[in-house]
Amino acid sequence: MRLDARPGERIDRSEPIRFTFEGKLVEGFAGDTIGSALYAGGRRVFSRSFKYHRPRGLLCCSGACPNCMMEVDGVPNVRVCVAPAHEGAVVKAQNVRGSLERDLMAVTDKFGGPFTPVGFYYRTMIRPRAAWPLFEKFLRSAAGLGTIDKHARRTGRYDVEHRHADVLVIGGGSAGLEAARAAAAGGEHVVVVDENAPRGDAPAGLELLAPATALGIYEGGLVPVAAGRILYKVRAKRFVVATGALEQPVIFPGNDLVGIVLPEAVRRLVHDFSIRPGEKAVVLAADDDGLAIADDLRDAGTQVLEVVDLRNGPHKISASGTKGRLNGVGIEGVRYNCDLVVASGGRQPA
Amino acid sequence: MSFLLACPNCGPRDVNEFHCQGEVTIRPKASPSRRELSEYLYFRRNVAGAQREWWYHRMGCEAWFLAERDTRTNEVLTTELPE
Repeated sequence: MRLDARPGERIDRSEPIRFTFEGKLVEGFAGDTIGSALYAGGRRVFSRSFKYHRPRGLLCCSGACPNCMMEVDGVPNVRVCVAPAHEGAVVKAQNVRGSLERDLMAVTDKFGGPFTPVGFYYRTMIRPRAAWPLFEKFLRSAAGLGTIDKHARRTGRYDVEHRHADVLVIGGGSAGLEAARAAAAGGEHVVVVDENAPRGDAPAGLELLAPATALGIYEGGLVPVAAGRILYKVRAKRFVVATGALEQPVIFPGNDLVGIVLPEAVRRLVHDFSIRPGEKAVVLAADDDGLAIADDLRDAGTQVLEVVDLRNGPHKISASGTKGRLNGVGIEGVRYNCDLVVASGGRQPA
Repeated sequence: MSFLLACPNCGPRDVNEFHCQGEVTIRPKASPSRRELSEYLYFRRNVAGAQREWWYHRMGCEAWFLAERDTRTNEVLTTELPE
């Protein structure tokens, strides 16, 4: 549900954007990602898990997990939570037979028993040998994630560019930008690489490559940076790696239900896209940053039922749901009916 | 290999623009024995450390030049045009 206009939001409400998802019209605003527009429209199931076809919803909402991969304009495996929405985009669910809500392939999860034990290989069905050709037909189409358009043609050209810099900063968060500013103030040529599209103008005196990915550090201080159709070969005298930290999921029964998210997802949905992430929420976190998300939720009009600090010893937690969607969580024997659980086991360096 | 090599004409360039023709060898005198000739043709010192070698700026000025390179670290110590 979209909230009233808030300061600092990334969307431009004066510029609506329309695209289709599974043939149905979806409306969003300029600045929305495909994922945020779908979420604002009420969509919660974004994909199905690779093999057992369990429903998957937004988890990180920051391009760090595979839960929201869809086919966009014929390109498979696009993480729609960070892919900008654009007018006329054709978005489709992938890895499903039927629809995201009713996926026929979910039988692999229900079957259980000797057919699909945890971690089973499709190779299991190579015996009896005589039955393999029969199985193979089915399995070939079940294996793999997304389908490639066999008739797709390359449009536009791809190129390589060389860049030389005094300082290369990998990661354009607050730490990275601060380092970049300090270096630029000393008169050095600074290149900043960030995975997200830039917000507003790049700070003066810096060269910003975004959205782009630094692929690694190679011999001679070579850092290839993939930025869409251009591969920049950046050579720098010094590097700053400011890649931040990622929140870790919490392990408990039922923790893969749709409706269990990381705090970063709430942060982005509320502050960037002005969306109320849920109606009733429980917060479980192992750091102050995660616990503080309760304030963001209240700010967005979500009722926070309980905030649990996971650092205070072990808790008995289990989540339950119907059809893969969260409907409640039990903590130390107390049950909370909620449609959102924000769970974080603390951050780990990326 | 992704280090930079300073061409005496063009300055520091990506090493992929160059072709390496191996270490500098000394041509035997007027009428070499078969052993000397085969050593000249087939044997190399293959040092682990600073080595003088021939390079050719294939995708640039097409000059042949000499470089001194540390074979362990690919650090290029000097480059010069031949006398």
